[in-house]
Amino acid sequence: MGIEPLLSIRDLQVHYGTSHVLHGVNLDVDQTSLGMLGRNGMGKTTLCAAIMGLVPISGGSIHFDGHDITSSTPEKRARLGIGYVPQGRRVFRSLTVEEHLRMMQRKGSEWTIERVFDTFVRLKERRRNLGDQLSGGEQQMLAISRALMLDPKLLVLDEPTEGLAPAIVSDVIDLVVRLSTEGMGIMLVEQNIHAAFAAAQNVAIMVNGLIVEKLPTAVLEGDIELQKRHLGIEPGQITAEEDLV
Amino acid sequence: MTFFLIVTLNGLTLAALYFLAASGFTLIFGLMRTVNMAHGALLLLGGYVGFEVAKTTGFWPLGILGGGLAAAFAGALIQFGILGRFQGDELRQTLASIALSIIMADLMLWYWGGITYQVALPDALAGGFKLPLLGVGYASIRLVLIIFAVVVGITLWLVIAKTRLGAIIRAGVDDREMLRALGFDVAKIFIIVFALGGLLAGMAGVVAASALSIAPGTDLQFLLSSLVVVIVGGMGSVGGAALGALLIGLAEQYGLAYAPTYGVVFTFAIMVFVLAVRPQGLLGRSET
Repeated sequence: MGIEPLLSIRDLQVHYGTSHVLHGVNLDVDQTSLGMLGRNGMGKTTLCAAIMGLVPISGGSIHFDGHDITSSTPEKRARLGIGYVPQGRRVFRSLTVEEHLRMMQRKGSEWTIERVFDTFVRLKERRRNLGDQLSGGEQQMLAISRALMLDPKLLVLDEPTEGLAPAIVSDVIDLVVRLSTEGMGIMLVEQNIHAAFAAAQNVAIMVNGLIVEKLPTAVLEGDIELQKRHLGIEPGQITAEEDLV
Repeated sequence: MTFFLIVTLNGLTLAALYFLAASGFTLIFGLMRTVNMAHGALLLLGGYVGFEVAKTTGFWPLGILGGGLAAAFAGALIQFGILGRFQGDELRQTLASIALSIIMADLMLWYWGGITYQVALPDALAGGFKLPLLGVGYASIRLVLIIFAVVVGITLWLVIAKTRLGAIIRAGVDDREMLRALGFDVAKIFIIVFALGGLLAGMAGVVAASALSIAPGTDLQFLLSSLVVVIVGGMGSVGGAALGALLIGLAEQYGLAYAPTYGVVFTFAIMVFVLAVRPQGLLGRSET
């Protein structure tokens, strides 16, 4: 290894009231794509929120791109280059598509409104629509676009394929793969194991607030036993994400 | 008929004042969930400063500007120095702002005394004029007040609907946490919005001191009316503040004119009715 990873999490602890959600997470994310798998309620979303500084942590450290961001504000982390695409997309319901993007616009940014509209033609067509007038797929495109306009070094996506039609799921996967090949670090939290396999070079498995495995995607894909043990699923059994919820 | 129309005009005047006072209050609440109980004190401070500026310069519009700016500065200072430290702890903020309102009221009582102040009007506005058709006189300043409120309302709407700052404010109202996660320094935006709310309150104070008068107690009177207006219209909605102000202003004047004994009941009957039927306010959006 030698070189420092882009994101380095050590012994991360998070409590919600009396419940202990993250039990000392250790995780490195570099400029590749990492899929984060695990059943519901294992702490994946909490981990994303902790990376963004949106939940108070009770122990451990987070380093990003040479900075100790353990106690940084969310806005500082975003400006250092962590793009966050949250679960449920969380687009602003009273802003139009164009306002979402105009708000994020900065001088000298690689991702401009024009580039977003070239990449997501659908968003250009719907640029005058409000956030809550968009379909799930369009909201997802918008949530990813506004994160990209920060020119992030690391993109944290929390279940981006949740509730999307299969055709849109593959669009999202293609985009993630393309961003990854352009050198952006990707952390992709997924319930949809096939989406994670298709999009990520490595996968980590989270069980009860701990990362229990981190291995190349191909290895997990070939290890049915491991999939069953940690993810509790028969491969091929899942056709839609509803089956997992 | 003439009586009815005059009462209606009086209601609109009052509504204009209520709107000016409540718009800043609702803006602050909408974005920050801060119930700023010092809003009335900011209004009174604006009124006093506006009086001093108008007296010193002899120029009425400058008084409005001066009162507005003084309250804007005080508002920004309150958010920066005190309330911002308790962000996310709404109860503590509310209690702190009550303390602030008492302290400010006492300081103002100490400096300006317990007497009633009225801002001297420029000659053009001091008199009345004959209303067409009705043939009765009406104070010019009251009509100016209505026009002023409409202009402020439209300007505020334009700022919120059409500018980048407005988009950021709306985004913050929708999902403050997400706004931070996109790199926006919400603390700075809060101070700006507090200044904007203070500006509106301060100008309302000067206008109130011109059309009516101000004295110790004016702060609480307008705080109460702002609370009612915002509860009726919907927390965080400028349009709601306009609608709420209109309803409450008219109800108060009609009540006073036609059923003086029960006048004040109308205001609170409207509030109770709205709370029972549409708890988020007429134009408010329920929490999701």
